[in-house]
Amino acid sequence: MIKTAGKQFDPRSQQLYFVAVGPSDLGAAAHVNANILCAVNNMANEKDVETVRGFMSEGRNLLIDSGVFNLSIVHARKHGIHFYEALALAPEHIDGFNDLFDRYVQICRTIGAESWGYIEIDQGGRTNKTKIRTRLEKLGLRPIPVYHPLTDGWDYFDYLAARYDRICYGNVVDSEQDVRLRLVSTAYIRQRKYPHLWIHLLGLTPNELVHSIPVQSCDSSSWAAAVRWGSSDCFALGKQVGDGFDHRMTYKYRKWDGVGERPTGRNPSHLQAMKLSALDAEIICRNWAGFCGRYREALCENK
Amino acid sequence: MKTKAKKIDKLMSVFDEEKVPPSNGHEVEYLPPGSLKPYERNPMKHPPEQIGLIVRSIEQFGFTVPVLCDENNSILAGHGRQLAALQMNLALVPVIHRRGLSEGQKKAYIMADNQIARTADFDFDLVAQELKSLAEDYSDFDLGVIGFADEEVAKFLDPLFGKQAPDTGALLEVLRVSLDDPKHKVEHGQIWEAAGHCVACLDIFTEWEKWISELTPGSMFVPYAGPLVLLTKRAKASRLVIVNPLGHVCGMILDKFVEAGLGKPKLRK
Repeated sequence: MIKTAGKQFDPRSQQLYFVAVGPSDLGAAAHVNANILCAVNNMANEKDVETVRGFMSEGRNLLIDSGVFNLSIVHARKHGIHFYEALALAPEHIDGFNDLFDRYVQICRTIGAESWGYIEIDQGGRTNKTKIRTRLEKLGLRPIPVYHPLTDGWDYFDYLAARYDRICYGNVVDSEQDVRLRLVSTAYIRQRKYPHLWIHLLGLTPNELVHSIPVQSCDSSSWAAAVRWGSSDCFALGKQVGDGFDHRMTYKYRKWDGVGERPTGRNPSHLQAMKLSALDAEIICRNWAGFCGRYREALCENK
Repeated sequence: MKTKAKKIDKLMSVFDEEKVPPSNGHEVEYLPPGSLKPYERNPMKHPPEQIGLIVRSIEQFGFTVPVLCDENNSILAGHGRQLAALQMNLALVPVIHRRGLSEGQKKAYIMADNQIARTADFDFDLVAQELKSLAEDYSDFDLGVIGFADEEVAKFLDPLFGKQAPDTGALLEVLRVSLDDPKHKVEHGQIWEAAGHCVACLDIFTEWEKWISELTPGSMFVPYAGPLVLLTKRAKASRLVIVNPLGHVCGMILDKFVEAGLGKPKLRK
């Protein structure tokens, strides 16, 4: 079995929620959240890398995302194609792939070993991502493979599950609610064949759906989505946030119009909302772990 | 002296015949509401909710503004009041006639009467003060007759209204971010009430018999909620039944409720 990298990973821990966004916004979350996710494209310079390293030294688990999803979206916008098409392209056909690959390798070599883990560069479907992973493994890296149930086939799930200690599980967040439930349920059922396997749900926030199925971990940026836009309707953490707060919780948000320099001054209310959402996310995650613990106990009691 | 004379001339000028609006015989007549003819192409809509509000207003204050009609009893202003009168089965309503308008003037006035009124705006700080005064000094007065929705009235009556603009997020400054032990010491097995919501510190699996009776019609079950759950829209829309086995999480929920100025939770005995 291939042990994926990251010394922060403890297979005995359960139900972790990684809050995701860039290093500056993670500053708000790092006060209260135990687990954070940062993508390679968000770590544009060494200062950013040092910032997330600082979070780790304060005891925060760091999961590194490859950032290839963002690269595909940028490519799709530039070439006027749907991002699903961009995601299916071979790496050599994606603008900027080589730069991202080099940056990914550099960051994983710098902080990958001391992190919780790093997600593979999931580009171009099953064949291409296997090639990329093999290339990374030859470089001495041990990324966590990504599995997409809607496109990879269940044989690939078995292939990965038999060989790796962890997999990331996609396609959930962009599916309808009933499909999501079936995908996550199927993962949970199939996981029983592989007791060693840790499943990380990509892009999912702990909510009522996740509560009912004790997969091991998930990540999302939804915790911050509501506060990014100040007063828009956002659903996250199993409930409505942002405008979901009553009217007194809303605040003016100076949205960057893309012209000139991005505003750096942060509205204090925005920062406070960010911190409160982070607190909410942390409590929800603790609830989730508590629920799953009780669920397991209940199963044992009924055996 | 010249200046004073000019001022007097100016004051007197308002009484010039040309500057005094014609009265047009503003005599109030009382006519059956069914005899008044609504304008077929009236662009102003009068949904049933609005008619209901007018009915409540007439019940509370009386028929204070007559319906304005032309010489043929066609309504120029007061379509909503006529519909309310019909709904209330009133025998007679006060009517003022404005005679001599051209068809074009009538067509324009029917819109102008509504549109000009819409250009006025409320001073919302004063609205809040007036509503608070009514609520405190005349507690038996039905604020619903004023025409604001219940949630708007609640917003105006909020102690923080006016002190902190609703779009500055000032409440966010009040709420602390902390994972410390909460001020409310909630013990397992307790059930708390907070503005009608139920916060039950009980197990979902093994103690369901203790909280299931809380799920009355219209209640929403919220297991494993976060600390801000009582500050959300759904807490305003429904009675929440929050069940969480962890005392410190229940304590945080109650803390945030208090910090937001929403009231004082009570431990149910």
